[in-house]
Amino acid sequence: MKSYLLVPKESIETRALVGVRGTTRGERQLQRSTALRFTGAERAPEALQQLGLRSATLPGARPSISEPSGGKRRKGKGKGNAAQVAASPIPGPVHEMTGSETGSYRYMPLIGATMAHFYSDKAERAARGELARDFEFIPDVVPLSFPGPVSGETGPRNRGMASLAEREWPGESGVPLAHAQGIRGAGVMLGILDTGIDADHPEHASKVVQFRYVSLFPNSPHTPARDVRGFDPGGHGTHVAGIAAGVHHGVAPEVDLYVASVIESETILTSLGRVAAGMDWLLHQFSRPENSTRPAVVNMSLGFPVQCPRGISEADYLLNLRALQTMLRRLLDSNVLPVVAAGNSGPNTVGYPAGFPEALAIGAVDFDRKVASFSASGVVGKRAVPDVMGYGVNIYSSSERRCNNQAFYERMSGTSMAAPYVAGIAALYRCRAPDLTALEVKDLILANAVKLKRSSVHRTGKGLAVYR
Amino acid sequence: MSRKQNGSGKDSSMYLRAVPSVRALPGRGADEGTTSEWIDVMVMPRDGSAPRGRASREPARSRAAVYQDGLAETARFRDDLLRWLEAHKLLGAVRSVSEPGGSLPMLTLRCAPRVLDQLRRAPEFEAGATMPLELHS
Repeated sequence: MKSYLLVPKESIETRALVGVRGTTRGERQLQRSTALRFTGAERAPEALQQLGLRSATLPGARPSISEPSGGKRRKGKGKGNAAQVAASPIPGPVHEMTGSETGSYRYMPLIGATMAHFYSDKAERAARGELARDFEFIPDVVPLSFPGPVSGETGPRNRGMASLAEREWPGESGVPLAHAQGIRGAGVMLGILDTGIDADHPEHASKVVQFRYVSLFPNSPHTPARDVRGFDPGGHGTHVAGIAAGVHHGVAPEVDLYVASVIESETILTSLGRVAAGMDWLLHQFSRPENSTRPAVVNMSLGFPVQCPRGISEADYLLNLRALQTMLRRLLDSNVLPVVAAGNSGPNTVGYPAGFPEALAIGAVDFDRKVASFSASGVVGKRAVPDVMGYGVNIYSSSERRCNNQAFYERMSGTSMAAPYVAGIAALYRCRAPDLTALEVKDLILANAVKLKRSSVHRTGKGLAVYR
Repeated sequence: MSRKQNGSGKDSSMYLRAVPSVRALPGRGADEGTTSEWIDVMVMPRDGSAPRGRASREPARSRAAVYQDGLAETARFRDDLLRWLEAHKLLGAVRSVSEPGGSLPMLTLRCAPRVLDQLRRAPEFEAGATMPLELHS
């Protein structure tokens, strides 16, 4: 795939016109008197669409613009030196993938440029033939990096598309074997409750991702939950989804993804109300007539803090736990396997929902099968947590693209990463044997786990979850 | 409507500390009377109506049937709660309620603290403030 930024060759300065920039869809109208206007820039998305590229342009109305006072099209009703032109739709709203596209593009009207991704040389040649006379094709090959130290168990943040050659799930995991046998998760539904997903990331762009954004105030009529194109301002959910279901690096690349964004990226906190709304949406999706008999798995890399937070009474704490446990029970009753992260607070600490017997609680090991120091473990009543371990140290997966549509990958550590690995393993088992119930799949994972060396401080459950 | 704060005592006073627009109780410092006007509350049917125990090894019913039952149960629960709020003249103190159409036996309210105080006394409901969850990353 080759990526280019298409910019009109004409000088920006000479074409800049005074105007008003804003959005007619959102609540805000940004009034600017010096916004730029790039005449002719729209020709690029129109031509690319005709050439068969898929539009990834954000939906919405084209910003209102102003025409100069001396413009020929001025209607004369406006006051001052500018006349408002009615907002009109941006050409080519987001389209779903059909598999026959020759590439994709995103038109960015505010800067008058179009980012184009060509899947073949032929598509690129066709586009150049159509547009090269008026547009500069600027290659998008500049490597990006973030300033600041990278320390601890974090790896290189950006290794671009070259990383696709590395498929790092070890042979012992059974993932390469499953893929070689054609077992890649097809037919299985995977639900993820997290910060969201970057649906245009190369790991996810080729599949249809059902996505719901549950706002900070899910009950408010002003911010209702919305089904929109998947986005992820934080990157955590994209990383989690990439581990379980990324088309290049994922454990089960052919699962159908259902992602509910329920967590604020900045605070990494969410409320039980949002989780409940996201879970309800998942259950609704999984219970649709066309899905109601399909196997399903839900990944939750979130939980309540180990300690009852300050300012919360014991009664409230218990009610919240009861609500969360009710959700897990409903999943099991619906034949959906809940896979949850055990937590990152180390040994002798167990949070919820990992502490519930309904959950398949996951701890973290590295690729040398050493238990991660942060991996939570302990005992709740008679239940030992975690149930099983997954790879959760320096895991390489997709992250959100932060500029220029460049594909980003990074390494992250945590039981948040171990849980989607095991969710992917569960999806492989459910793909191979769709008639097994969720509990039978859970038992299968526990029975096939690879025993780990005894740790003096950590519990490791049945061992490392693998596919056999 | 009266603002009764003497019910279950300790819990409700805790919320008042965090709610600025609610008049502070006598003896409370003036600086403690200011934060958010609304609180998020989770309401469930009183424990005992929901089935307990480990899920059966084999799902006895189809997922669609479980979902339909859940929808009906939640619709009934929602009606009960709204009727109860209306009967107790608390609808004006509720800013928003979970959207209808859910299948889980729980509803979240954004409401004034006194609604929670009243709900805690109701024998048919179990209510409490919602807690934050965090990512395990």
